[in-house]
Amino acid sequence: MNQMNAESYVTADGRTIGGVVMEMKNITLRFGGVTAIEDISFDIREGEIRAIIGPNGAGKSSMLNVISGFYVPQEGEVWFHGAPRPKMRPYKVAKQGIARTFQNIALFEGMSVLDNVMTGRLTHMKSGMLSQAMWWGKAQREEFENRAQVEKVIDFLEIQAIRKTPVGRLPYGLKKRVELARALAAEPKLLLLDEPMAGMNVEEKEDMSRFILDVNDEFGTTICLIEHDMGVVMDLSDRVVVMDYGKKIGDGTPNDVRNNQAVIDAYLGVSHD
Amino acid sequence: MSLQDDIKTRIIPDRLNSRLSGYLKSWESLLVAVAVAVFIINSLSSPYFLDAWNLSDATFNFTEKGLIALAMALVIISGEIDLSVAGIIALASTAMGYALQFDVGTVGLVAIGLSVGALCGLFNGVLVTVMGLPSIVATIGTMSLFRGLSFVVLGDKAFNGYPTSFAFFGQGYVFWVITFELVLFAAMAVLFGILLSKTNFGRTIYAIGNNPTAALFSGIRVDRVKMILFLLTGLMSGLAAVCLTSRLGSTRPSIATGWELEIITMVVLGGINILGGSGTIVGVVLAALVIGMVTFGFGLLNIPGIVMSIFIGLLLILVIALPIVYRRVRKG
Repeated sequence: MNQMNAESYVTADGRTIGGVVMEMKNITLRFGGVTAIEDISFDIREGEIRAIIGPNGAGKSSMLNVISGFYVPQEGEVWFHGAPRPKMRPYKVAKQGIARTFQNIALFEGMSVLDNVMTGRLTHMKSGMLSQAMWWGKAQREEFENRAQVEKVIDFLEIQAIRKTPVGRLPYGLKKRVELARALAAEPKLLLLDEPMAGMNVEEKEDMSRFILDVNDEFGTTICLIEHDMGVVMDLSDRVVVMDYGKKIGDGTPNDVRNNQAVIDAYLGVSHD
Repeated sequence: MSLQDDIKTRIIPDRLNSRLSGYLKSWESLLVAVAVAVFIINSLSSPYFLDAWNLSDATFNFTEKGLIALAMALVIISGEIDLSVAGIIALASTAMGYALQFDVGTVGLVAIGLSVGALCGLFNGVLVTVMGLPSIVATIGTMSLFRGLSFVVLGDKAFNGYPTSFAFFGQGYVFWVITFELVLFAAMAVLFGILLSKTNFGRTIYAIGNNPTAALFSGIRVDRVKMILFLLTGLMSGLAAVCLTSRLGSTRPSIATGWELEIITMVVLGGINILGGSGTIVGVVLAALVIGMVTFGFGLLNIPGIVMSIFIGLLLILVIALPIVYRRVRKG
């Protein structure tokens, strides 16, 4: 039986991949006369690491922005947990359990690492303003519970030493890690990573890859990531979507994709004579 | 042991400086020093300064502006600005004066002042969040709009004859020389201080000021928070209008002219980053105190008003420029 169509299956390294969490159905996105995404469909399964790759300008970031609710496609539907998701603002998408990071890092530069990560946790805090101001009852309990979760994430990503440092003073690689921590603090059902390895040296890339694998393994978080570094993606992901000029040119396991002629042509170029 | 293991086992403290040295080096402690200096200079230069009743009068120089500065601080931390606050005072005061013609009582007047303020704030909020206008442009517009409406209603006339009980808000004393306005300002300062530093709403304001995009994708309703902040500023301007109208006992369309400048100076002097993202309410309260005492000292020495506004202008440039120049010098 083709494992791709099964309801759930176990990978070679022993992780269980569940049913479909998110499904993109015939997504088309245009900016004026430019078609950024053209009729693309694919799905993301529970617990898997799903990659979207493609050369520069292929429409990967646009696709991530569609998933996170920043762009609304002109055609097609986004299905989340078995139901079509209505047009919604990014804060609502975040509340549904979809967290993301950005290619050019979006952090609260003037705030400490701890405060940054705590802010990622805000969607879980429900106590009233009065109760918080009085530091009483529910608010106090909630702050402790959430703080405990935040500390877990900080430990996990090995950023204890910089927890009180203002983010603006950190080097690039650590900022990327803090951003991952902020997204992870929300305990997302689906974590979107926009070029998590961009601009990193080999060592930093290795660290980040390890963290991505650990997050998936430890918390069972479903991850969808964008990268144009083919090598890293092939090692990390369970399945890969390949885009080029806004179209889907390949979809499957890293091995399938690696041997796909269209993908090879897109990456290596093809002669037209 | 490899170098990496060595680094991992080395204990790095949470704070590199002690708590005390952190406090001493803060902007707030600098403000305390300035306040003490101004206090000493004032008491040396005028024999009338150290009189309890004079000092009590001095508080009027900052209480009404300070009320608005508290809310303005939150708006500026969130990366926006509201230049229409003095215009809101004019319109709210005019509305109260107009209602006076229909024999509205004290409670009704206060309610009208507060609601007109809140409505003006809401209007600013709609322009900024729903229409997507930059707040500096939107509120320059409403600054003229609100005061213009006040001029249309009043022309060169004034509303007088507020009821005696209404005078309490601006002229009443709670205890000995302690004015109602001072108590109100202190209570509001505590309230805003707690709101900003102890609640998630406060954390949200800082987050938005630091990075609105990251805030939005962290599940924060950025537009709604900004709307609340503009509404709050309008409401506080309405409250200041009640106090000021009550203190003056009359309404003219030129009421509180130029206050937006002094209020923003207070906020920036208080250590609130004009670009958003940082600052504390304690700083704003201290700055209100400093500015209040300086202008009162100038008054005692008979220094003309135009010199005061030159001073306020220079102070504003100085406090905005200083941190930027300091950073540049340290880098270069």
